Amino acid sequence: MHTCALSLPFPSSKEAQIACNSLSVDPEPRRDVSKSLSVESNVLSIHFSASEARLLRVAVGSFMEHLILVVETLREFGPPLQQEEDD
Amino acid sequence: MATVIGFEGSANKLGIGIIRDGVVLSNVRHTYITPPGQGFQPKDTAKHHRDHILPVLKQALKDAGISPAQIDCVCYTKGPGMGAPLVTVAVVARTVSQLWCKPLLGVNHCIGHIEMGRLITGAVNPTVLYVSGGNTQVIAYSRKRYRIFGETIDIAVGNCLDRFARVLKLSNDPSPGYNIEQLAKKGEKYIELPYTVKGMDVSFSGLLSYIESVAKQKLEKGECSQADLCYSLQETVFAMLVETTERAMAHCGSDEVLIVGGVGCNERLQEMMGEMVSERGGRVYAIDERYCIDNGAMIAQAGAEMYSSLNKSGGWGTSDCVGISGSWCTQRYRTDEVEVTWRH
Repeated sequence: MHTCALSLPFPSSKEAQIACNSLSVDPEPRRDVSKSLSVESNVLSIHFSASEARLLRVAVGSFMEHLILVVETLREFGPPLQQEEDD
Repeated sequence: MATVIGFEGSANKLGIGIIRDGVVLSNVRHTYITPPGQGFQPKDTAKHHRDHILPVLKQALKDAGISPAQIDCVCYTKGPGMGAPLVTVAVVARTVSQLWCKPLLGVNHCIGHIEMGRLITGAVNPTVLYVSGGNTQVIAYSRKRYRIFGETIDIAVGNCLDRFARVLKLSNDPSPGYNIEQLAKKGEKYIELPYTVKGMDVSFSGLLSYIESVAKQKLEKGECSQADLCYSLQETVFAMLVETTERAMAHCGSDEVLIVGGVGCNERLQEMMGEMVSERGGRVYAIDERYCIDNGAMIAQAGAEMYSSLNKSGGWGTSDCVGISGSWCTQRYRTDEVEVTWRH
């Protein structure tokens, strides 16, 4: 089993949680690759495991592309607005 | 009053549009155009969307003249489409919906086309011909579903046209279908091609294989021109579509036809459909390339219908298209899977 662990600090815990939510939804296309995401204060931790190093590399590479897009979106359109309505 | 933003990126068009109560405030699109002879691959298309989505989003907000706080709901294309491009766009939609504290709704791409067509043309209950690079369906509404009366059993009509454009090495700018249409206007000789209608369904793959092989031989021998081939291809495939649409109209007792999807802006198709429909004493509703070709506003419009019906029914807690956890994408998502809660 091959694994990869990443931890990424964000400007705030709110932003780390947004990134975690945005990136957790899509299942890995292959069943022999798994990823889990968690947030502790402002740090997003990602853990990958795969049966082959090749599969791990593809999964991490594809994840990084989405992660960069989320980070850029947070930078361009952040910081998070405060919830104004009562719902 | 609801203001809804829609994100679309299921194929090679990236679009973001904003709609407020049926008025299009903005509709920005950026198309991934490949070199002549080449189609678009999922990985490269996803990269195109990643590279352009943030500038397109900024432009859509700027054109609409609104701030994110004024938006009520964020919508994105859930499917059908290519996996990697769909997810790329969904990731940004999820992120801004959280940044702006707005609900997130997943929209069926086909429903987006139908609702945008209804909005723009004012057609109330038309038989719908949905023709694009990925889909070919004859649809009519009945009891809370857009029901598929006929469809392609292999490739989409737009795919057939696009792939033939590649054989001729026509430009993909602005689109291969547009360049086929222009060339077809100069065609003089009709070359007989396989005409494949099976009941309510159509098939284009055999026709494509045939014209691919015939094109090479006939062009080499100088027996016909590229224009003759484009003309013959259009006449044949559009006749198949008009035939199945007419049968669906007869089934439903309907006298309106709405044409949506990228191939729907082909004026020859609109003309042929118009002839058939006028013989039946009916009317064709067609729309131009701004709203026919994939765009963000159509996702916003279908999303706005879903948003208001969820508000009315209080179904926010039970719908499976709502919120971040339900915001996955799916490459296969049939038109008739969606419950059309906003129509009677």
